Amino acid sequence: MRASIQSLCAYCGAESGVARYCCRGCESLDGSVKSLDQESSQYSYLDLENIKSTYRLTSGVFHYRLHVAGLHCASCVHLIERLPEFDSQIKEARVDFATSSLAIRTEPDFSLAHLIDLLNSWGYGAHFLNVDESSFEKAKHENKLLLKKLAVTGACAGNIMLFVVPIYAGLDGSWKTLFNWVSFFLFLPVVLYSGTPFYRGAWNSLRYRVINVDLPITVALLSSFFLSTVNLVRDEGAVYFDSTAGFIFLILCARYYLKRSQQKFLTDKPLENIMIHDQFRVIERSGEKILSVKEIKIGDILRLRQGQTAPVDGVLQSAGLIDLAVMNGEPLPRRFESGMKILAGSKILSGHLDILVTAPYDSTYLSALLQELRTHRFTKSNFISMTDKAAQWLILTVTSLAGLYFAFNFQSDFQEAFDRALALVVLACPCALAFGAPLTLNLALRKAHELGILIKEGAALEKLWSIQNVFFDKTGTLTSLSLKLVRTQPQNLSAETRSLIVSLETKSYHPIAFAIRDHWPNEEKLVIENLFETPGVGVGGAYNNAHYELLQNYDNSATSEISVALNKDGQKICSLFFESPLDPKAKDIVEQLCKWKLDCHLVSGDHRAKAQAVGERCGIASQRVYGGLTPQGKRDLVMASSHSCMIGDGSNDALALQAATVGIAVKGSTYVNLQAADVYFTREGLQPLLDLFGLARQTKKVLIRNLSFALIYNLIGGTLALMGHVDPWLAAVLMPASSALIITSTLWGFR
Amino acid sequence: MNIMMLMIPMALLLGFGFVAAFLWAVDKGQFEDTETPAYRILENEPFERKER
Repeated sequence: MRASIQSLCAYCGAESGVARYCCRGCESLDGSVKSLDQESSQYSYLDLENIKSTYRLTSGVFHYRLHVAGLHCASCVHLIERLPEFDSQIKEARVDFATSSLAIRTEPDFSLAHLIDLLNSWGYGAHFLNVDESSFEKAKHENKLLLKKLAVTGACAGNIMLFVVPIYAGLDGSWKTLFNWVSFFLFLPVVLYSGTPFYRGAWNSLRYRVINVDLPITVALLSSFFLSTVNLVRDEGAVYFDSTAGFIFLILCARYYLKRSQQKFLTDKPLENIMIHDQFRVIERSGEKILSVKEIKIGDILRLRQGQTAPVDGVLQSAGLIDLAVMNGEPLPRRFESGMKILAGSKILSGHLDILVTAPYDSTYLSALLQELRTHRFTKSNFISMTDKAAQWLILTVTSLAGLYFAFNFQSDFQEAFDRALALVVLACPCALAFGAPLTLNLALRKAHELGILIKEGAALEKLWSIQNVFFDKTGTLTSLSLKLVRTQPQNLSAETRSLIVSLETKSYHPIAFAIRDHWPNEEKLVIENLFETPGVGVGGAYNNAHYELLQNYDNSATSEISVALNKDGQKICSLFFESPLDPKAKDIVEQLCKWKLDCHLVSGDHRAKAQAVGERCGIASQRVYGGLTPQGKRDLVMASSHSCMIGDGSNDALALQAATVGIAVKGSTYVNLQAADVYFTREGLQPLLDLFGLARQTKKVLIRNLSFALIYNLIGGTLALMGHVDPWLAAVLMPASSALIITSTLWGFR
Repeated sequence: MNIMMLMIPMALLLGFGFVAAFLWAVDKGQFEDTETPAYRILENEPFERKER
């Protein structure tokens, strides 16, 4: 049925839903590009020299880098790369589709605001990136290095194989020796150049006494080189240059692809912390000055506009409404009086507010929180992936088997015992671990990406297998951040009353006002005289010689509803009740998780009664619902249970997200959470949670199947090696065959 | 059989000529962005800017 309402884009032919074009890029290219009206732009602050310099790149050909949201098809690329035709200050524009970024080369007096306005008028969201160019360059350099090693190994392995074919075909005598020596020289770049990442990994593994997969690879590579060279010099016995080089080539391929897909995710992450790159007005005796966050000092008077987030701690100079949702997850803003202290991260909801700065950004709670998250990022996990566990097991078994065999047999025939023991080490190929695992994780990450799930590292998928407790945040996760009008009392209101309510709330930014406007979008607007809003109390005004007020009730905080009363000259006419709507899927998802034998918990900073009511509607048992928690309280709860998974959105969940075995940030999460979480959703709602658990199960299945194949292969290969039946010919067939099996099994698992 | 003594170095030289060319291309950054050029090449008609 879906096809019937789908039409194709008139310009590029991509699916465009019901619209004529699939995106603004196509519309612009097909028709006329709208010219930009030259009114003063809201982004004009970007052109201030101190703001501009924070974005300018210091090295490389390009001067600025932007993130462009809404890149959709080839037309978008064309249109944006034609920027120089629209803005003469731009000399060159280069789109990177994979990371949705744009690099530009500009004239010195280029206007940043003009570019953002231009891109916005075409329908793209854009912001300048404050890219740490050194880390960007470093990642690029690492990619290049790995690709070079890959190329050298591939060429050497291919040539070695060509030279050993005649030997397998029966070539003998001095030509055989010559060809083997050519193979030896071709193998040297593999050992000396391409193997270095494995040596480094193996060295770290020994130094920190944690066995990782690099160790068996290094052992196999070096022992094969050693054994083959010894056999070559004494001109008898097996030479394994071909199979080992091929094996290293496959491992490097898998690692390169895993790296590419992980980096793609890294640049997808919103690099922008809005607050850090916002501009702030500081009032001085001589007038206003625009400063960036780091330039604000103690004692400055900061003027914050509506909707802006306070970057510093400070004392209010006037009363106003402050939204603390980011900090404690409460949906309703609170009224703050002049002289009260507000913390960095609070959002201003009413008009302009002046604050006297008492602590610069670097010494605020928010900054400390970010700092804490940053320092714990690397100490968080003492998690050993299944691959590394298997690597431990493999290396212990193989080396002890080889050692035992050698110890028992060296007296009868030293040479033969040495040969066979080493052949076992070479042949016990860790291929399922060395490239089966990266390939599997790579495919899983890609699939997750398609499902709207971004996973920071593959290990998070493995950790999901062990999860027993799932902790949900309430506000913004199970329920939406905005309010909804659920009922009125009396049930039916006259058209006039409705018009009156909507008219009273026309100018308010309070969440209740948004809920009312959403509920009654088409009411007639009445002219209210003396309309005023008292932050935290309500709105009022005069109509038809009567005084009307819409006041919030505070005495019913024990229920899950928020109520507002309409008074006429002090007499109550009606009441309106609001609620944060529950995610429509929440109940099904909790049910499904329970079916999978996972315990669901609800942790909220909100009142216990409200948390309880939401828990009941989702089907979470009341003894597992916790209300009134501080961020630290949430963290302690999550830490107290092992194998926990936390799902949240606000900064008040950040500590818990980090403490949890797996932290998940839902769509719309704050920047702090994106740093703390292991996984984050780019799709609305909670459905991705089920997809994520499903994907983790699928990944487990594939990994275990690969390991079983490897086990069978190693049992057969190892026995043959110890019995002395393995010659280079068999190794050359067995190793690629097992690799091909692993690759096929992995691809099949994610078909 | 002595022709082999010429053929082997020639074959290796040829092979590693291509490796060198690939390494050069990597250094030039030809593999940094493998996605966008595929879109770039789809451009088929000259783009005419409408008069304002």
